Amino acid sequence: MLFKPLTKDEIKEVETTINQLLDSDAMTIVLKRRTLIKIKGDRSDVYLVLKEDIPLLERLSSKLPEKNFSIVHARIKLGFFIHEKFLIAIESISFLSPLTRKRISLDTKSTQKFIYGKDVVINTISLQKQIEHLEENATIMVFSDNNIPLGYAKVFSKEKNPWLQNLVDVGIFLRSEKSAF
Amino acid sequence: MSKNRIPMEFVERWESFYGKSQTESIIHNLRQDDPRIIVPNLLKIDISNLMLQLECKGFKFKKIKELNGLIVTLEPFNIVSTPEYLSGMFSIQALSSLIPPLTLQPSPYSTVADLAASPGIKTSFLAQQMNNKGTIIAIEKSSKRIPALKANLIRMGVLNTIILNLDSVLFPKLDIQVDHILLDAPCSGTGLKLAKNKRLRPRILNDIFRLAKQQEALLEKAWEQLKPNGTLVYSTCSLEPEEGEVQIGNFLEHHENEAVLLSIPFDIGSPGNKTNWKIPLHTQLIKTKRIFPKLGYDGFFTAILKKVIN
Repeated sequence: MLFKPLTKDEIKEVETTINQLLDSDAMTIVLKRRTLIKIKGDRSDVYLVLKEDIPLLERLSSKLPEKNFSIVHARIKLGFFIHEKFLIAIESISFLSPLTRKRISLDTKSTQKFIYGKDVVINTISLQKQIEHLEENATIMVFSDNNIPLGYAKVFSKEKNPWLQNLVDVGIFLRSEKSAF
Repeated sequence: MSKNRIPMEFVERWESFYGKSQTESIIHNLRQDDPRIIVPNLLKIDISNLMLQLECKGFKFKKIKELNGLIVTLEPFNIVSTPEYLSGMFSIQALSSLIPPLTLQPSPYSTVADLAASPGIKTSFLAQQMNNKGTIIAIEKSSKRIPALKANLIRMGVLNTIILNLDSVLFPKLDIQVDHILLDAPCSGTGLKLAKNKRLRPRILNDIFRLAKQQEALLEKAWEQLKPNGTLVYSTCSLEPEEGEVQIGNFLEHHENEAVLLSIPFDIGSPGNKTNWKIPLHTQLIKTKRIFPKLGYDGFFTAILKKVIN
């Protein structure tokens, strides 16, 4: 089979990680209509598909020998597992950005820095205010000042010079299109 | 061979198909570099708001009347480094690429197969028309072209697509029937502007017959998987009738009881039946579009076929 469903533990790990990122139980609600699968490949990539996709994917998997054919993507890639830990991927941003409450909006200069793959120093009162309620090491979604989703970052708010660690950003579409996808 | 030289073999062919004056226009336009043209991603933004956001950064645009695109008239820095591009609010492309998906007009809850999907610009326009609903099965034979396809679909926020690495001639073996098919077939590419066409060499003439056979096989295989009342758009970026009008004319003759051409809802290009050929072309070809190269457009051929039940 070219794909397989996630185990209960894996589903729990994905659901918890994304709910924490969204600061709500939105992922739990999403999973009532959708389901999670892994596609056979080099990494344990996790895709969110519709429940009614499963018969189609099963049909596709059964009809051709694997040497002639592979499924390389199915609807929404959310992330991947490394050593049983689920990590979020940039591919999820279009789907998750309307759902998140844990977010920061950067000014123009910081936006440019962030999409070039750099970390961002929190050096204005406006940025400080946006992160002061967040726990240390929280993963958040980063937006531009006109609400364009830019990527994911980890917050270091309690340090002397607070900063955002760039986990992944949309600049990857230019920097490493061939290797990243 | 200089960048702008067009081999005489092509010039003579085009004169025989389209006449001297049209050929002169083709040659003139193939030599012109296109300006940068951007097209908003309607899943994320409309054209007015996109203009507004980019004009705040110093860009200036001219609207293109017939299609939803913008010519960039002032680019203070590379537009692909803007957050708007990186987050998929627009794509950069020749306008001809818009015509096949806009002609197909898939409904939001349909199942669509895109048979030569990379780099995914047309696939993303299908998703926009479907409002990210339904299912697109995007098939790409070359594994080297898959990363670009994935990256474009992800950047554009396309959420309704399953990508298969598969030779499209094996599509019937998957045993699935679909409502719509987009077949932007591999072709000689003789309609592409010279600035981006590395293939316009005399030897490509030898390939036209081989490519036409390949296109015929793809078209026949695709047709098998189309549901009754389903529609199929066939397109090529070629100026050669063997890859356009003649291909579709032959197909109509072989499928006279089950295939009809539908009209293309754009006032762009000329009807395909005006092309000269050794024997008279099929009368239905008046409904196809032969687009000659011009500002923003590559040379192109498009037809939409409907599968009817008799």
